[in-house]
Amino acid sequence: MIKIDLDSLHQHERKLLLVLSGLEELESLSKKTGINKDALLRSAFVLKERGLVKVNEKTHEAFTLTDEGKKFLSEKFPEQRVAEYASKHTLISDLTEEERKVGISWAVKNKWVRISNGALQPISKPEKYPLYDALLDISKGKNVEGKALTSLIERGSVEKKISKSYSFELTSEGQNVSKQIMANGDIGQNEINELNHSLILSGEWKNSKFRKYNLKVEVKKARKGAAHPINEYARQIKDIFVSMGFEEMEGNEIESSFWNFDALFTPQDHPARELHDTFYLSKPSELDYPEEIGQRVKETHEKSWKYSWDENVPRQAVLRTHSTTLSAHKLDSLRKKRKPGKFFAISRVYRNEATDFKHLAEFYQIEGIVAWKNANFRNLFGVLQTFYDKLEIEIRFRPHYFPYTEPSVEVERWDEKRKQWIELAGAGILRPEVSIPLWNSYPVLAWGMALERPLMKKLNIKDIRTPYQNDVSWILDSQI
Amino acid sequence: MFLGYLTLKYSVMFMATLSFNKKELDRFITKELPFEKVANAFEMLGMPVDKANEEEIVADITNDRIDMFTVEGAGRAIGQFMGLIGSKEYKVEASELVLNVENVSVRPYAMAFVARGLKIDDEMIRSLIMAQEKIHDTFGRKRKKIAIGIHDVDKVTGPLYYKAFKDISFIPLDTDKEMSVQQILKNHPKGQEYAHIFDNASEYPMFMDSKGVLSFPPIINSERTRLTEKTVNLLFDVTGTSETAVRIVLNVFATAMQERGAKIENIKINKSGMIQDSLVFERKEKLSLKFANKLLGLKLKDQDAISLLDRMGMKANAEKGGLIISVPPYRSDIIHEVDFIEDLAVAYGYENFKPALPKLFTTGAVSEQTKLDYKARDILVSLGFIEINSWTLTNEEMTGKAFMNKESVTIKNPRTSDFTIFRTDLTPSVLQTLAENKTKGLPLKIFEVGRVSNPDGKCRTRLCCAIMSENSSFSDIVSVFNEVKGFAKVFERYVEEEKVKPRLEHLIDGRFILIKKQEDMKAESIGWCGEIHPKVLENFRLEYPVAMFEFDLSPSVPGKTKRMKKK
Repeated sequence: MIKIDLDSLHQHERKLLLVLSGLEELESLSKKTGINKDALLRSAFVLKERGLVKVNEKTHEAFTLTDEGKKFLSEKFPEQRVAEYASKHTLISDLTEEERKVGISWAVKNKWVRISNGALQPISKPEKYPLYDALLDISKGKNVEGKALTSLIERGSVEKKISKSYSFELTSEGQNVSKQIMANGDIGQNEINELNHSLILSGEWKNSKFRKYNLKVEVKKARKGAAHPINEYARQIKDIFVSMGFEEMEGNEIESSFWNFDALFTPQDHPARELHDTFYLSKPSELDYPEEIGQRVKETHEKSWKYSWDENVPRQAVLRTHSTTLSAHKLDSLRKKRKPGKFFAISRVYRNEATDFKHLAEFYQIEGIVAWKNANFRNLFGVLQTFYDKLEIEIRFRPHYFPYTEPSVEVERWDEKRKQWIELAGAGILRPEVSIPLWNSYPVLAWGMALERPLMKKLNIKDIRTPYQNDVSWILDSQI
Repeated sequence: MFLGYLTLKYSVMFMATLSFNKKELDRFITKELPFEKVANAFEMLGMPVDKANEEEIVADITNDRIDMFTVEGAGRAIGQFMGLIGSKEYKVEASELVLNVENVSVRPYAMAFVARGLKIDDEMIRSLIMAQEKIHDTFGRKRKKIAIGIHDVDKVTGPLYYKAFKDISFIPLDTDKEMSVQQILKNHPKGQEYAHIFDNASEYPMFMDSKGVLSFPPIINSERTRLTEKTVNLLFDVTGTSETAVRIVLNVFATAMQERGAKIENIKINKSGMIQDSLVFERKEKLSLKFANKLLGLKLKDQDAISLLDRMGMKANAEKGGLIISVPPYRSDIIHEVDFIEDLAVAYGYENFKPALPKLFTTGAVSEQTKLDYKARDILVSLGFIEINSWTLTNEEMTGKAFMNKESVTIKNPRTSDFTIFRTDLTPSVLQTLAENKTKGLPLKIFEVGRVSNPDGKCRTRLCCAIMSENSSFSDIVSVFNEVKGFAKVFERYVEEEKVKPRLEHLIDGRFILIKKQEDMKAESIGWCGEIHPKVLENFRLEYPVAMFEFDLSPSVPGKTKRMKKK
């Protein structure tokens, strides 16, 4: 036996269960219950789902009047009207457009009228018009066949409609439930389907019962807003640096080779400057650099690398290959202000590289410097260790080589799956050849860190391109 | 470049992968060690190990230590680092050979030395050629800056010459036919590979003896002086465009051969009457230990520093005012005191440094721009929008789909047709994202805070926001705009109020407003808010209406904000 909570039945459903006896048509049931057909049908289907009512469905082909057909039924066909006017010799100019265009031709064809001197002249009087009789019959739901039907369909007065009729009967379970409802006698009591403004205002709810919902019904998924995981992660990292007293740096993605290479002690024949590694620009093709620093950089290059420094090469415009350009600019401005400081940036850098699951042509670099006369190598370890502690990443330090820092250090994370150390960041104290022309002889601790790599580990991503595919489902599921 | 490893090619610029025979390594370490210990020593010297076992150690050697590209040098460095051998002194004798260097403008420098009494076997040849090739590729800038030639000196008849020729013929290595310079450049595989080095040259450098060509640097040696299993005495020539670099490479091989037990002979260079030595081993530099301690944050005493430097192969003596250090002749990377300081740090061990935060008190802060970005993000996320993050590089086909082809920053050397320009608007990528997510259910509400550039290369941040639904319209997007315009300090401007009506082809006429910065009412508009034209939707294969806004999200210039006049 199916267990039914009577309170979970909608008022209409209950009524239907009570009223239904034997096999009944939708029409008659609608009359008996006073519930409109659509609502009744919905209730019947709900009850069918619950095994209380059996629904019989029949498909019918029926002919019904179109809007035009309905009009003709009340006004008669235009040719009938024309025939009537003929007896009064009405002028054609006095007829409606419909009567002129449709009525006259049919009336002439039916040999009811002729036209002379711009007026209608009667020939015979149509006693009965079979077409109109057919229309009348169809409107009453009578069966019409033959030539008249075809003609009405062709004229667009009648159309074929497929309709369904429904009849219902109670299942044995339904009969049980019906008896229970009868016994409870709660029929007619007010029941609240959806609580609304007027119900609350009127206080009507006090005399009503709340219909219980089917709580297991599947609901539509709500869609929340969400920040992009990369930006969310960048925000966490910014928070860490800010908490450590670092100020954010900003700057342009498009740079002269001077700030990207020369100011960072990269000799002009260095392979990093080759076309297949760096994006050069044709618009703008050249960007200026400050002559004063340029002169100092020139001297340093020529003294250390022993070549003749070309003053035009540094004008070539590039998409910055690293955001250390920001640190270079910052040191330049610190020199002017004669101030020390701690700075960081998280921004896009570019490499002339085909993208694949491991490599990107654009990615983020986390950049930072501490420019201070008492800064030392232990401070660099201190900053990096504190930062990664806060990010909850275990690291080790290892010597490495970077062209513009000395001493240099590489930060690595142990990868348990691959059983190897993975690079996370490069760091060091800027070489005097870099810091002196830009700033002064005081030490500058500097580092560049990857953003995507620890993010991939955190979100368990295999393909570095995934975050940039902007699949909204991925963004929603990948909240940090 | 700090993040060299993120791009494969960049890492190649800073290091080379070398494979060392473990037995050979042990010979120069001077002790048979477990391979794990050797691998660890490589790493602690700054050279990551890719593979280590009883037969072989594969390590990435950084370009500042080309001496470790040779198995002799790598073994020596590890032996010294582990305290098994101290710093070394090298002996040089005089060779009977003289090298006459003439004016070779395309490649001005040439030097040479002789190594006698070697036992040459397959393993030695393999490691020698490996070191030679890797130095060519990295330090040698693909042979352009530096190239090394190795000959059987017993097949050489002095004196030696280095001169330029318009053309000359000889039998190149591994062939049996005489070839001219032009034939080599055109037909020989090595000639084809390196012909670009002589792109604008009319003369070509030749390293010769009295009988003819020994090598055509940096391309190919002659067959005449090839090494065989009978060879015991070697002649090394190094040519290039930088005198310092040529000398260092010469020293790397000369000291390596001496590690192998060879007797080294210096070849004198005669440069139009000026006589020079090829091998110059003696170099002394000063290091202030006070400066070193300050930079490292340590308190090393003279004796500590001397023994640490000894483990890096450097002999030091304490004198008044600092340490006097004998720089090993193979060290190319010592150009400043800080280079000694790094060696001190490496020998001290990075794991032994106590991390300490700098005692520089500063207040931290994000930039004004970042504050705006955060605000925009927080408001839009709270309104149910999903943030996207797309490439700043795009192409004209994509911007054209949104009728937004503008003059833009253009890449001279694009790798793919996807990335040819820097974007000027965020709209194309936002529309593209809608298209890629069109099966993910409606309404789809997304936004992006991202960077764009002017054609002159000046970059700035913009905010773009889109709603796609069954019936998204102007009023839907304006109500969102109204939530952000306050903090962004922008306001709406009706098109009919403008003297010059802007053409915004991507929007439906009469269904958009312009956006202006509050402080700059007379300036051009910085954005728009409206309904996207169906011709744009068609281009992106979007099937539902899209309402959007996009504008410059930039902090106000201080002092420029004025109160809007009341009407």
